[in-house]
Amino acid sequence: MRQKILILTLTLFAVIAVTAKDPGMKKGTPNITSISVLEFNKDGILFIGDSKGGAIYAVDLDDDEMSSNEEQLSIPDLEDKIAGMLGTTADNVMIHDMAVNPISQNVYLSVSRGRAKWTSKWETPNDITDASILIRISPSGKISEASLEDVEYSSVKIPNPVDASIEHRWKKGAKLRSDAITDIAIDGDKLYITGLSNEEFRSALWTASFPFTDNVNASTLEIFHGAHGKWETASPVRAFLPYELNNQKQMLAAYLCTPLVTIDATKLTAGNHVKGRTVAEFGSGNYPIDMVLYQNNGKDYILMSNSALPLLLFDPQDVANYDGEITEEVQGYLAGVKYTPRSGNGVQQLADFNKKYILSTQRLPNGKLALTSLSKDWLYP
Amino acid sequence: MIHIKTNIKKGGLWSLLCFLLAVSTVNGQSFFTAKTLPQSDRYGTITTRLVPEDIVRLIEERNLNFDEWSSFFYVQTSPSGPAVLGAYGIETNHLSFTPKFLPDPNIKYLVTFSYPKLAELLSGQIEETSIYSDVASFEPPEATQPEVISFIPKLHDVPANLLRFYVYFSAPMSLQNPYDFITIEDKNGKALVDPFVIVPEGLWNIDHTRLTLLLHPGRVKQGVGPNMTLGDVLLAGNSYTLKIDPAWKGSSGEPLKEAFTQTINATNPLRGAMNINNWALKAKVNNGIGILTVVTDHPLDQPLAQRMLFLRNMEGQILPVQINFENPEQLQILWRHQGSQELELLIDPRLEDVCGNTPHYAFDLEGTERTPSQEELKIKFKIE
Repeated sequence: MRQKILILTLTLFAVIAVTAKDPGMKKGTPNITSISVLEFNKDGILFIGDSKGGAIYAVDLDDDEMSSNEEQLSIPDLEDKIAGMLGTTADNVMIHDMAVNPISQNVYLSVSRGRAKWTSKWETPNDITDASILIRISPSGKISEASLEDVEYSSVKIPNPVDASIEHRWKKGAKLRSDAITDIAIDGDKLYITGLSNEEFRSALWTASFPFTDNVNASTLEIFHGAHGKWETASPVRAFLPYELNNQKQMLAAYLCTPLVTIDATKLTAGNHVKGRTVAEFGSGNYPIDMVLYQNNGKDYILMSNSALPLLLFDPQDVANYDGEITEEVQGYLAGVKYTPRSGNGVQQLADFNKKYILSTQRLPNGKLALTSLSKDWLYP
Repeated sequence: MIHIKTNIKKGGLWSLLCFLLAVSTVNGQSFFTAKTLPQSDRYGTITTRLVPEDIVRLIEERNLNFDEWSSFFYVQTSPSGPAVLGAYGIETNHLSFTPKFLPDPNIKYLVTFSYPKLAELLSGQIEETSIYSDVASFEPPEATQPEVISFIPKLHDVPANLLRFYVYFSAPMSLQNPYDFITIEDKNGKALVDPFVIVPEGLWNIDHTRLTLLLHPGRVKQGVGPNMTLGDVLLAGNSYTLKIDPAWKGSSGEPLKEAFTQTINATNPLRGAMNINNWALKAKVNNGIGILTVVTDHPLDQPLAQRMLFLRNMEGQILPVQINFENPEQLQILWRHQGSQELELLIDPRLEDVCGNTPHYAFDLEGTERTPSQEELKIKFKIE
């Protein structure tokens, strides 16, 4: 009898554990138009931001085998390997985003064939074309396609994404819609989504809960950009993460050209226009690509990769201790919270890989794109 | 259309072990056939020769996934490369592979079919031990010579302060400097000096099939530096010939099919803002299709007009439309009509005529309004 109760209890626990992912998920093939942004939650659910479709998809890839791997992962010719799968040459393979499943340590890349058209330093891969392939790389380096056919998934539409017909003001041939979703960050059961909307102040930050409900709050953002010497509302957040500063949840958000801003999470309510506090200017001629939080010797640090600047490392405690605000034009493009530039030119995507390593993609001097592991022991100011 | 051919390359660079064991032909014919399917989105497949029926049945019963298929029927683009993504299938005792993406013509597909690997997968139920390998390549479409298919504005008489030409090509053009191949000559055959704004590699659309030639605005605009020193580009009352040299190459490397010439007569400059109150609109419905004919007060910049004119119904919805120009001053807007008999033509205030004048300001006159009004530009009309 006791054994039966135990089995019943375990069965119920298993059911609860599975359904906790999202009881609203259904099996099928999600109608994803563009795999623009990737992010995992702690349960190994992959969130796909679809800029063209104006939606977020939560996908259960049945990838939940726990890995305790502490080794690094390195593939010196990542694009060559993927090119072979896509039937093209390495110079035409373009990686749009990277995320690591925290349970299995499998690496996921959104990929397209279109890099040959990437000729402007200001364009992002999503400006060039839509990613349509999801690639999985195991911790041992095995590369395969992660099929999105016949998977468990749920989705939610983001309200009022920027219209598909609106052209970018200065990127020739680009449409703003490719920036409808620029980044996703997950904090517990909350999803924060940045991008562009149709509002007068286009820069938007949507908040949703997971499991999804129809209730997605949209706030518009305004920041003072010290390098440009003006308040800006049209430029989207490029990379961000939620972080608690002085016991208050903030979004640490980086923009093109490269201001760092804190945004008070409590103000992100439906329809609210929120002014961020600009706490640093990291330099011009650049856009941030990725931001990752990690620990070194038990202390939090943030690493940021960039399109034109080297890796930037900063201490969130320095942000918490910074009580100023940049509200006037900055000469020389640098101001505010201090940061440490780290060697790492050409580093593009970043993701927390395992206890010891951060994973990155890096353009090497031979022109190849490498998947490399950055030791957290090495990454301190 | 993509043409596919198979080339027999016995023992090529293909994975060494496979090639040592493999053969590529059966009775002198390739084991693989590559064929196009032009009427299908499956543009091509690589198919094996007949596979014994009992083996096909075993494969069918197993409902194999991609990794299992590619363990014995392997397609790759380099000897050490991964399996090319695609779909495997069975077509009446032939096994087939369709690449997931349109093949790159520069890529060769190395194909192997291994009965021993298949036997391994099917737990040894096969006695056949042959391994076949071959190279399949997808030939690019035959290179065609590009040609000029359209030229805008479609006018022989143009205002002397014209701002832009658009040249449309039948195929993408190369990145050669366009200004090395394009000249404007006066009636004596003398080339004009610096008529265009030089934009490195030219102002192209994404496909590299439309070139925008911007006549030097500093020379078009009266009283500014370049105009004072170099003078107007075009002078009213004179005729000119725009010539495109046939040596200019398309992206395929083929030169233009023939030279292109366009004669234009410069008429009096058009200096003044457009006035949409002077536009004449007439709308009707024919077989469910709404047809709005618009006669404008200025010849419009047609590519801009394609992006900057909209129709809105009384419910506030922007309707999908098709815009056809009879000439730069007369166009038709077509839409699938239903509902209200009253609609609005919306005009983006950035719309320009061929001389850069907008509804709010004249390109070439001082003192006119420069800041676009926030007021929406619209003309209401009723269907007759």
